[in-house]
Amino acid sequence: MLECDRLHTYYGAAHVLFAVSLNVAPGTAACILGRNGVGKSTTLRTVMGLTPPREGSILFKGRRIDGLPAYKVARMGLGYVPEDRRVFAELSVEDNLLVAERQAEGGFGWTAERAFEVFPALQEFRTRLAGFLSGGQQQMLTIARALMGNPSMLLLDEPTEGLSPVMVKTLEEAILSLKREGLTMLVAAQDMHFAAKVADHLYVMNRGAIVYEGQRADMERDAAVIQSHLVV
Amino acid sequence: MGWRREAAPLLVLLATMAALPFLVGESDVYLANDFLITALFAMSFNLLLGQAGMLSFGHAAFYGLGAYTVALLYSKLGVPIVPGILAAPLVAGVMALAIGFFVVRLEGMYFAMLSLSFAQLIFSVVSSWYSFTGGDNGLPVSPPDWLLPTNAYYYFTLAVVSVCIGLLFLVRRSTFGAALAAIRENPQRAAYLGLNVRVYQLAAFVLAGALAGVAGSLRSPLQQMAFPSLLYWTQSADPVLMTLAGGVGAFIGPIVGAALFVLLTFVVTSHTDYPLFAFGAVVLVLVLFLPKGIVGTVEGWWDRRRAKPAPATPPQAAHAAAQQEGSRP
Repeated sequence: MLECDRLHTYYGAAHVLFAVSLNVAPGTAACILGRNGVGKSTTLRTVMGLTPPREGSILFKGRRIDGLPAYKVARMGLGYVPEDRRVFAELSVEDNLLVAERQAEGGFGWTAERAFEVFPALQEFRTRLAGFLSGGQQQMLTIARALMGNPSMLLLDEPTEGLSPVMVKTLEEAILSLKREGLTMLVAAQDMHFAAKVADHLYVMNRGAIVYEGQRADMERDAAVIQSHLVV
Repeated sequence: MGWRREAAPLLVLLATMAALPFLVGESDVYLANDFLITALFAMSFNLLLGQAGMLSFGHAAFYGLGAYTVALLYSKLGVPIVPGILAAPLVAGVMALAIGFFVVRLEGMYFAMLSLSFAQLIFSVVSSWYSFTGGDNGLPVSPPDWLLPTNAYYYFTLAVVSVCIGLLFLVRRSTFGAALAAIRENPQRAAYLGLNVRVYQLAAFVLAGALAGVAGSLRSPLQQMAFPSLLYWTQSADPVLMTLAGGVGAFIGPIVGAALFVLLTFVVTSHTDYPLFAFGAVVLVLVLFLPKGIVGTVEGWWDRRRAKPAPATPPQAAHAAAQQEGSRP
């Protein structure tokens, strides 16, 4: 579904990603593990077209998407859930969803009503301004908002970061249920706990490069290696 | 925000304006007509600034084009003013499409400056092309007999302005309006949700231009003359000031600002030659002490009084997070 080949991304003169290659097969979930600032978010932003790569290629559903503007990438069926719960604070919950509603090729037929079924807490606050939601509710909203674009693949940037344990559990269950429905995912995360639950395939990043790649089955065996890249 | 809260003051205002000719004299009705047209001009501008976050400094171009469409059709082709008023939003809208094609590529101050440049370009053409536009002598317009009485033209204006403001109200409540607000809050965020930001901004620019054209087309029959000053850059400053005075975020903000502007201009011109100076001073005081404008402040006060759980604006933290999105490694 997604094939990234030797991506090099820069912020101005700063070289941030070094030959990042990764593949996500249809219907599977891949996880990028890594500490803060190793390039996980940049990788997702690069795929989305927000920080285009200077070298390398990105294929989505077999078509080149590197160099396309973000709105075209989104319309091809790639949903993006940014870190830090970036809702439209001045819009109501409902308007946050309606703004994002569109039919992408090969989507799953999402509507606001279906999104409310996955996240019942949002239904209750549908007319409230999104800026007044709690952190967990805002995270639910950014995921629901991405679903409204009817994506065939979702990019999730640290979806459970900074949330209460109860909320983390709720979100993990929601994400797993989306995966069971057949949604392909690429998830950035900081700890193995979440990756072990969701990921079929695992990448570990350090200093802007992929330093480990493995299957879920390998995780236990390679735990020490993976951990060594996650500690400072 | 509930739509009732935004619609109620509009309906009260409509009823008041409809009753006005029975309550005041003819000269006051003329002044009220001036207010209606000015209010539509300011409201069309706030579709850009308030809804889409685009600060245009060239909005008078479309106002003036509307005025000249009526005047040129009347004096060159003998077309009566009502068809002229119908044609005005088309002419202004097409010009807004042409100018918008270039200006929406820019942001912030550059957008403001380029829109100003285009407007001044059109002003130069209109004010110096004597054989066609009459230059700074202006171009006369004569309403038909049935629109000549002050009250008749007043009700005609009230009907047209009400329809246009009703349209703006629907736009604000629509998904298109929500998309513009999303772009105003964070264009990049809107883009990765699949919104083609430039196309939405261009659509807003064209709609705002067309409605400013309607306002202008009502203006020249009122004064029975179209003047190049309607396109001049100081005319572009008027809706900016009116909107800031009334409140950018509130739907009826520009209407209240326009009322203040028209009244103040009327009072001040009888004492000095510099009405804009006086209004500017008033706006300065309002912006310093009531940053949300008159309507925004009243709404905030109303909300606190009713002790709703939600205050009038979201927490600052959300805004801060929105600002830093672009530059994060």
